[in-house]
Amino acid sequence: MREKLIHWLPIVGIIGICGLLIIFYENIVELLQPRQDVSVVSQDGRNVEMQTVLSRDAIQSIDNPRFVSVEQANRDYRDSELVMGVEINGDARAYSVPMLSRHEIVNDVVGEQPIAVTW
Amino acid sequence: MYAREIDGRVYEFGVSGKLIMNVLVMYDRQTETHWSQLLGEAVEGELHGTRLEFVQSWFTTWGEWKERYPHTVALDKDGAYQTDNYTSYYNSSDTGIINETVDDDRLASKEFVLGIADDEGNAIAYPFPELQQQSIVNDTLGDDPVLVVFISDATTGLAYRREVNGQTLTFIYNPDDETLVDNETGTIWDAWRGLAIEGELDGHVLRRIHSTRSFWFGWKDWYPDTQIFTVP
Repeated sequence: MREKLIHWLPIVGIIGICGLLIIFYENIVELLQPRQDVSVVSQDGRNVEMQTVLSRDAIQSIDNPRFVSVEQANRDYRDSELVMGVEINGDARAYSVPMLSRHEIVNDVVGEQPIAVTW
Repeated sequence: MYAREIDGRVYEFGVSGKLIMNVLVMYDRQTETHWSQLLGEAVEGELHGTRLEFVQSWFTTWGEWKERYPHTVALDKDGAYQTDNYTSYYNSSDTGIINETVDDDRLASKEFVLGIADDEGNAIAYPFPELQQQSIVNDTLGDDPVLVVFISDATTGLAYRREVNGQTLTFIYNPDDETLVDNETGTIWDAWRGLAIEGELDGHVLRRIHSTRSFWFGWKDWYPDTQIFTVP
């Protein structure tokens, strides 16, 4: 009698797990999708959704950027490297696009003007 | 790029983790307002409706930038960021994280375009392959005469208003020295700055228009009625 029970256990186990998965299916599917968040109005009056993909600051902005001279930069920047450049009041700065793409935002002050460099 | 000072207060921006039609939504750390990166406008929160002031910038190569600005400094990479982590994404047919909103296959999804738009809903996309064939376009956006010039060696697309002192100018572009010449006065202009350097209008500056470098799939979602430039 005991032997037969042991043979049945794996099958019961599998059925049990399947049952639980079916019950929780809706919840699992919902968890995997980006949550529909606030509805906002876009420029031309369309309602568009703002969707949450990551938690806040999961991508960390650069808030205290450091800069190097051309001579030092040439060690890390190839001539063909894409950059965003700005010049304000004679203060010229270049921001590496590969670096920008990992941080999305640099909060900087250029020529005494606070600016946000965004990618 | 945007000015962080608004009405005398300076804001610091962070990555909210949210997207609107695949475009970054920022938040400011002072009020937690959410801002659309593409529009430069607050879309939700205490400062809803506030517009950010665009700061003139150039998308180009390091080689080009340091040649034009020999006194420039560069963001310290600290030996890292040698590759763009989006390289495989650029080369794939994947379109963003969230599904596209508008169905429009006038162009391939991942085609790069230079986009300009005004506040009246007028928008024009200039596909990069078209600009590579014709580096200068004298165009009209809504009622405004505009100029789009593509400095291909520098990978830089620039847009300007081509009206000076009430006069609309029509330009030709000389890629050898990256200058523009207007047909109306024969003045020579530096294309990079839109600055007249020789001739009747010497010293005048063309007003720069904000342009966006974007994938087609993203641009069309935001500007579904956009025109597309094609070389005649």
